Amino acid sequence: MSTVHSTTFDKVSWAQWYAQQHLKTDPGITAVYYLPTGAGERDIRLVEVNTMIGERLDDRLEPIDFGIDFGEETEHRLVVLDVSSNQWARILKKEMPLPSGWSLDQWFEFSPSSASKEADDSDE
Amino acid sequence: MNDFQKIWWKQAQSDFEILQRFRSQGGVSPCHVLHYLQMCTEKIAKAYAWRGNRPPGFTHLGFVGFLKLLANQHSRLKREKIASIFGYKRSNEFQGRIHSTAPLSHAIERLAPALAKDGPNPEYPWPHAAPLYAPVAFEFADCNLENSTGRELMRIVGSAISRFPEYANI
Repeated sequence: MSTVHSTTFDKVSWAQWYAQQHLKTDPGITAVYYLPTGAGERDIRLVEVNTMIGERLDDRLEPIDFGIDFGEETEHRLVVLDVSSNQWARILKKEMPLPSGWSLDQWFEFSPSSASKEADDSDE
Repeated sequence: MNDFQKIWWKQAQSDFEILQRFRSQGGVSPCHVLHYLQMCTEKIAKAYAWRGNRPPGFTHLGFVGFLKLLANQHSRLKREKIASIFGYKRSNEFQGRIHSTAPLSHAIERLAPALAKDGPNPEYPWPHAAPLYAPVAFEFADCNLENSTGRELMRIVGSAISRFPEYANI
């Protein structure tokens, strides 16, 4: 990213906010995991376990990279990997590789129960 | 809106026009309607993904992921603006509609042959090794566009395409 940022960026806080929102918005999501290791300074990597997605025939996992707030102080990338529960189980057992550069080191879950809380957000 | 977005938006608009024509004239097999719906939703999502002026780092982006991104802007001002563009008074109303239509949206997304797992899809007979079904004769009961959920989703899709220039850079 070319933008120069003068403020610090609390990745975990933003990641938790996105996790809560996605759990509230998509009834197919049963769990959201945060994978911080190896991510860039302003990259948020989430794995979302979803009962409603289709698995690719070629078994390839492809994260979706959402650039957000381009050119603003809060510019960052939200990178979401949608997987089925079966795929997540295989990832944990090292039977299915994560995308290149991703790591399971230090991963943790954002609990679905926290999704009902009113999320903090900006402009308030 | 940058030139890359215009290109993707133009194609999404064309797919959506064909879809509307099929629906209004009637007598067209659901597979053709759903094929164009799957294509136009994927293309408008990609049009949005190009707002960073660089190629999206993925080959497939489903409509559900796109809607989740739109509806869950961290900035409340942006959330409310987008909800308004889509015709909702409040962002939580827009989020509620995305939630209620998500099963159908996911079903549309799963129609892409790469995700259909040798099962129902609007393009090719299946199963591949010994075809038993032709899309043209299949009902696609999971993708009903004529009930209240289907009509709501079609309204969201219509807004996503017709009002794209208003949110293309958000």
